[in-house]
Amino acid sequence: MKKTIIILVLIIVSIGGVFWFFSYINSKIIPTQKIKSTISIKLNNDNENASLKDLKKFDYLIEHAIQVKGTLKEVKVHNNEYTVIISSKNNDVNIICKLQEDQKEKIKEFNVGNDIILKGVYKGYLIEMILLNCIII
Amino acid sequence: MKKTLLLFLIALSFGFTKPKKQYLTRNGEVIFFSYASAENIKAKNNQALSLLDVKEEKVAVNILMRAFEFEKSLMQEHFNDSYIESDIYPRATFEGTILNFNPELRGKRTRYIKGAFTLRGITNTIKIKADIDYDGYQYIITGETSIDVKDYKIKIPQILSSKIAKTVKITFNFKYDSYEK
Repeated sequence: MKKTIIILVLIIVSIGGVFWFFSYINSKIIPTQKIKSTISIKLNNDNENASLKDLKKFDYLIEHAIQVKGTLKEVKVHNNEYTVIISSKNNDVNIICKLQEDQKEKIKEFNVGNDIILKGVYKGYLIEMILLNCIII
Repeated sequence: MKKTLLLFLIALSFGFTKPKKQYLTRNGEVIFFSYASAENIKAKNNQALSLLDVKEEKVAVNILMRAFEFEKSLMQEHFNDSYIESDIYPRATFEGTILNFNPELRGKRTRYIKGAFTLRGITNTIKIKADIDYDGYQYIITGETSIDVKDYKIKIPQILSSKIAKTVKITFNFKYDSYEK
């Protein structure tokens, strides 16, 4: 009887393990809605704009979600994928945000020049900060 | 008077049609594909930065490695942490010269671009066949190339080495707008 229970438990644990393993290796990218922002940046704040000129110091935020408030400067569509550039009022700081798949309709409600708040995962920088999987707040 | 006006208009039209010196894209598309027996590995990056200098006939590309998007999070994690080591080598770059460019030629033509490609801090000279399209306002450069994993010392675990292709196919599509400094 004891032996049967042990075998049964082992079988259940093995099946659970296999399920966990396959769900782990097949897990999709987590939607940004489910990630909490580490920091919030306002592009129309002069102090923050000045600090955004030294992008290296933001390296600790790589792979973290950040929230950005700024002015919508440009919307680019390529292969049905949307990338927006948001900037400060005086246009001296830009941030590139690639929108998450489910945000395509939402961005159509905005015009260039509108204020916008986005949350996305920070990936690093080239000339500007680059965020992926951005959602409109 | 008419003759002067005509000459002025001709001069003006040349001014409009002659390509500007530099063209830029912040949204260059780079896709890599690697065949693997268990599951093919594919990722896309739409945030590549590229500058095309038509006067110098040169092109420069800067790619943020963490901006490659994978379908599965585990693949993305392995790519950044184990294979590319994006924390240490965050960018890949290419600087090259377009051979026989003739920038004022409109329409599509195929040219070779020869230059230095740097990945994981290792630079190799590569020659890429690319299609260049110019409509009078924008340049579009598209093409594909492949790189050997061993040329860039990408470490593939022994257990996976027989299951992953030794070359990675890279396709690109850059749509440039004129750029004023």
